[in-house]
Amino acid sequence: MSNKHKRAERTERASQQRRERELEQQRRARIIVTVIVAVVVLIVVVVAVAIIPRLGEEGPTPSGITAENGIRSTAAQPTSPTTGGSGSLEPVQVVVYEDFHCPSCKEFESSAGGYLQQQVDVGAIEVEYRPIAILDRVSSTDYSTRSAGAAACVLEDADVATFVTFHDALFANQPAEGGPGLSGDDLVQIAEQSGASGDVGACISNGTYEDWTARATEAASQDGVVQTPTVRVNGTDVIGQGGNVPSAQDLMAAISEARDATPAS
Amino acid sequence: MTLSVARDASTLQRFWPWLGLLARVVVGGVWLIAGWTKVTDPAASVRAVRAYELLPEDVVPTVGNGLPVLELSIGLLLVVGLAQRLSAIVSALLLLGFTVGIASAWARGLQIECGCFGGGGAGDADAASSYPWDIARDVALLALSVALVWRPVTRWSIDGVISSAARPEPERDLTRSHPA
Repeated sequence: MSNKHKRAERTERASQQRRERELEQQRRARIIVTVIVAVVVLIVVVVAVAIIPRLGEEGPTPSGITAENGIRSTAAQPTSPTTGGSGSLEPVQVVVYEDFHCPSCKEFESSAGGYLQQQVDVGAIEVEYRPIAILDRVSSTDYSTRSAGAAACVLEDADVATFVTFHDALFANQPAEGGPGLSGDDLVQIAEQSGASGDVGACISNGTYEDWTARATEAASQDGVVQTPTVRVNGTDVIGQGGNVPSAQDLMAAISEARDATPAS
Repeated sequence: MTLSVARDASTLQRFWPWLGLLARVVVGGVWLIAGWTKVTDPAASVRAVRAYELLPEDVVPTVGNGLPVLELSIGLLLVVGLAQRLSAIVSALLLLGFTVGIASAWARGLQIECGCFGGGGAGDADAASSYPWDIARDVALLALSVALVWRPVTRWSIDGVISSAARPEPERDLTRSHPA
């Protein structure tokens, strides 16, 4: 009886010791895990900060750019618009956000680009091109950013008409997605063929306006641009039939609607 | 006695450590890929967050820049099996948030890419067609994460290594010398 009692007591003490050991074990494990987790997270943060490309806050802004980072194309010698009803009309404002590596933008340019240019020439509209870079991940060389920066170089070096020529040429020569995109030398060559001077080469190869491109892209995002092309007529988004890329017909309708809504001056 | 009960219990219970390992590696691997594609272009991550039109502009840059780092951390912890329950909880909460976000974008008729693996904010006209797949993927990963929260004991985990290494002294089973 007494022996049995002692044995039970011993068993009790042993199991209590074991419980304490287990608690101690869990406590140590928790401390070790916490320390390692802290180290791992710290390493990830440091690596992330190290590889994050610096945001484009320092680089210059090209001269001749609008406050909204656009290049405004207007009629060289405004003639009165042939369309529309009453009297002299304010040109309708068309804004086009494009990424030079975006196939839908190329599609938009080939279907509606000619119409836009013709409407600009007669003074019926003004087009503001806002190049942005949202497709850097589809090339191995950030072609979106490089090409938009190059377009700013062309504007800085020459004028709006030369920019528009270069803009059209970039879409005509658009590289395939998933590849390296056009090289810097190719961009310089196309710029010079479009009418830029020999000075444009340094600007393009130095990436002078790539920081500006990052700023312009961020500003466009804040203005609600979630895709390219985004086309706005007097501030209203033009959506193509069935949600497709806007065609010349879609633009024509949007422009004439905008003109009807504008009171004649 | 407990051992025989475990043996009689469902096969799921017996194989759980291996299934848990699989769940851990799958979920963690997806987080690593998702985080890596975002961390290389944080500006795009910020745009993707903004495109959902759910968060106030004040917090959009913080969330956009912070998400890739959080995703990489969670992925790393899950793959190596460290702080499994905590990582699984964070993983489940993130996935729940993403699922709600995508569903909400879908419901509001937004045409955006989910931005789950980089990019984002750069929607095509048919961007909405991938919403069901994005949601299905996130719900599946959410289920795996919840399973890991429920049973964070898996094979080949650093948690397991630490907990056996943390033993204060070689354990001697005192009760065994006195069979009841």
